[in-house]
Amino acid sequence: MGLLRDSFNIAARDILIESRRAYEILSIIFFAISATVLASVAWGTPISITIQEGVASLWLIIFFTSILLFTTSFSREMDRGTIGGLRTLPSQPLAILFGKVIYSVVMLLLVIVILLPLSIVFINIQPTVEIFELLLILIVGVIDLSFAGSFISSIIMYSEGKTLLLPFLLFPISMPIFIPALLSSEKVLLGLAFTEYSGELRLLGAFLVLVIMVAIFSFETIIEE
Amino acid sequence: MNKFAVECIDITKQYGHLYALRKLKINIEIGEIVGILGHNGAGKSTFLKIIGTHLSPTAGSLNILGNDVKKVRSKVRRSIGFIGHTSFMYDELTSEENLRFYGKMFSIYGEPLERKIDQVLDQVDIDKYRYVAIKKLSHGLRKRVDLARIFLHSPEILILDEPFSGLDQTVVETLVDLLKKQSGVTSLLSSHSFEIMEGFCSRMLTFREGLVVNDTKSD
Repeated sequence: MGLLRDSFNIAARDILIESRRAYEILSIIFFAISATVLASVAWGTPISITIQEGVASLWLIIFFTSILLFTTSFSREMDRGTIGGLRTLPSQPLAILFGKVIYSVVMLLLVIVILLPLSIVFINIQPTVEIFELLLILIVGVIDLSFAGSFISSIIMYSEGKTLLLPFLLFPISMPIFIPALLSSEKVLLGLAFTEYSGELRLLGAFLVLVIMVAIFSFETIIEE
Repeated sequence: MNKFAVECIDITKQYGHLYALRKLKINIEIGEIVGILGHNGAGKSTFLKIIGTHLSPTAGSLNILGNDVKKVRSKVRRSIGFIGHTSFMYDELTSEENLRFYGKMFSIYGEPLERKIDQVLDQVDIDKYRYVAIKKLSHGLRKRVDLARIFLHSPEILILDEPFSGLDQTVVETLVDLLKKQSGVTSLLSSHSFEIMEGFCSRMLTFREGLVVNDTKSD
């Protein structure tokens, strides 16, 4: 209970800070919008874009957008010295990670809310009856990505080359998220039954459990020293 | 009842081959105001960071108010107020918002939290800046907000690493007065300046190359 409450406090503080620095989230949103339009131009006319191409574009945009978010997630605390304040807190160290994850999920969902209508117009994503299934996959994928990205962000915060290290590390680690999320999104939009993509959802769930377990055993060491 | 606020038993801190602290054995009694002196690299900040649970020692053990830090770090942190070299405040938030965040993290909520915020802002005399973003405050005012932060959860031990650096004489005097008023609270402060510390510290520790080379108590 205390862990969750502290996590939400940290996330709420990060969102408040973000609202005071609107230019950062606006730059992420602008990147997502321009990438969608560019993908549309690159594939030809929107109407000719296949489901596979549209879904691949959507997840690529989410992935690259998330890199912008994770780059500053922990490094900002480190660069400004506020990480020291977090180390004085009596809360469980995991609350700091979970707080950052909640903050990242909120920010990425905000991007998706803007991205989804644009995807319908520009990259021919046509969720009709499958909108809720697609949203479920997007939410699960974003939670997975947020856990993996925030954890990597915490590992690299001490490094001078963090902006280089983050995409390098996130790329291989996000593959177990990216591939099942992509495949399940395709299957949903192709109108396949839940049983056809439940395997991919289970993979996403299993990866989430794995990242949480790794974080439970290692995060205290990462944050304390 | 435990007599010591801090008990260091053979504390060593090593960074690779470099020794920051060497087998320190220090006991600090409850209510003492301890000034920590020494040149750069003498081990003052490392010592304070270890007491403040920011750093773990390479060897040795540390008890705070009778509690082993390794076993009950969270409980120990509730009894410590720590100010480091840099401010722990978030630039974009106001003084009040920063204090509210830290208060909640120390499990103070609702009306008691709002009352406590009013009290500490008044205590450090920055109530008129409560709605001003930290980035707009001067160095001295930021320091006061930092002080307000550590008074929020009424800690039994105050740890202040170079609290007077970059402050003018008036602000230094205000801070000293504030610290003097904390009766029964154990305080540890580091500084390069013997003159400031000798006036109000009940004990002075001088560090050199990771060792305490002088330990003087005033009457």
